[in-house]
Amino acid sequence: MILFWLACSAPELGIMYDGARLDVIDMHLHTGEWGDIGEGSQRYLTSRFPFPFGLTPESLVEDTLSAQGIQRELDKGGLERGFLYSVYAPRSVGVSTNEFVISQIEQSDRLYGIASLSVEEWENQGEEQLSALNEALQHPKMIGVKLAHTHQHFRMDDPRYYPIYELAGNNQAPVYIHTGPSPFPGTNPTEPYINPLYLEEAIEMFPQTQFVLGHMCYDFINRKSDTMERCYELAARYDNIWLEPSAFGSRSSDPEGEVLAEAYTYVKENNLIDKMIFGSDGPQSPGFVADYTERNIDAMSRAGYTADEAERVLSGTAKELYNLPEYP
Amino acid sequence: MKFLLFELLNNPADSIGGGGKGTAAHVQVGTAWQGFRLQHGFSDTWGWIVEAQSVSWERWQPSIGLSAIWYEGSVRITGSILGGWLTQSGPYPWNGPSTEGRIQLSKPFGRLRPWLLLGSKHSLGNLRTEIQTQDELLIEDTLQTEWTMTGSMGLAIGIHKEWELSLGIDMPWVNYPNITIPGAHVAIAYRGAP
Repeated sequence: MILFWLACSAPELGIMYDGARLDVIDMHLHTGEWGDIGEGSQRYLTSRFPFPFGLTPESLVEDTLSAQGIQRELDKGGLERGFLYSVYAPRSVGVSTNEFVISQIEQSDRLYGIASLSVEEWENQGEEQLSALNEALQHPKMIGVKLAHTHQHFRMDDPRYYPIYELAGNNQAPVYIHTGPSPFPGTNPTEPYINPLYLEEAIEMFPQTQFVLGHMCYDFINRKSDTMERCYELAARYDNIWLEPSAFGSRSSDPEGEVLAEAYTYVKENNLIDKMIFGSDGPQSPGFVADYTERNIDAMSRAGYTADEAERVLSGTAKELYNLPEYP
Repeated sequence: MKFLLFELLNNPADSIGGGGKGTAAHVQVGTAWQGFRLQHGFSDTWGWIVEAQSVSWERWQPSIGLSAIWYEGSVRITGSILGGWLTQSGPYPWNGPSTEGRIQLSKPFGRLRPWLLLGSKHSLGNLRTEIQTQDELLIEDTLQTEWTMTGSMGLAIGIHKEWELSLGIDMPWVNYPNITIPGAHVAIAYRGAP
């Protein structure tokens, strides 16, 4: 009976840092159904499971990507809340619709949604897609927009797509932008699709729209961090630019944690801490979110962050930018 | 009555420990490895092997090979080389040739016989990725290699004349360095006399 009670009791949320308990929000999580995930992503996800689970991964992946599965992953790391992303990238990672994300976030008061839209056949479908995005953003827990030009095959400086940024700004929904080359097949890794300097015209044109530069321009293909200066430059120059450090500090990309520590050090030395918003790009595999959180905390510790500065990164800025109510 | 199975069988054929003159076979079921092996020793030292392994019914590896007794005393040590084909369905489809080198060891204690199998498997495969871009369908073929270290150990128990029941644990390392969950199996074996 005691064991049952312990198993069912609510987990203690928050992480200890420098003697203080800090709230953590993961602003970058993925949900979805196996059949809608792209071939390359299916392989990537299954490669994360020990053999032989990867031979028949459907139910395991769907369990991990479900609202319950993601909440379990948040619990493991003591994370308070998370944002689930809609994705419309049929040529690469696949599709996770706004409707599916809404069906997941409605199952938990700890989950919020980030909407997106398809840009396929934009000339004919653009208006319809913008209307659908606008409708999704009317849901009280759909609080942002996700775009990945490299996955969705449209240029960052193509004005035909500027109405997306305008619509997001009008809805007070920050736009998450995937930056830097992606390791997944089916992406376009050329500069106008990955380099946010191509976004500069839109950044200036829509000052009311907030842009979150995901992965901070890290080059996942060549595993290089020198491209990150592009993101730092924009964050320093524009008030409506934010930085998100997901994925590039993982065990596979950054085994010793040096890239992540260097990034946090640069951010602190250049007064960009208030621009950083923590995200993991999980859940990927069981335990990834907790591990990635731990690696970010370790990197902040190595870079000499105070508890207040760490909390800004881990939850403070996200709460303000996305106008989140206090939890619980 | 003392049941001296291994004294009754002179140089018995043995598909679990390996080696021997005459015919032996076993069928194993377990999680996640299943399979069968048929072996025939055509001389005191040499024999051939036909076998097939399956993992979760999604990955199949049929093979044929040669085996030889390296040492026969209180312990039997045998070596085998096999060639075959690896085919796998699921998100990581695989089709390609495979080879395996294997050492087997067993030592009888009355009707009980602990055994050990160590091996190294290698396979080549072609992974095809299809990417539909805005302009065309791109097909990318990637040649892949897989190295699997095999390791099993267990206990065979004589149950009736030439028949044995074998319990084993499987601790391979499939596609090193990826992590593999260990498995367990039970096998029924025919251990024929020459």
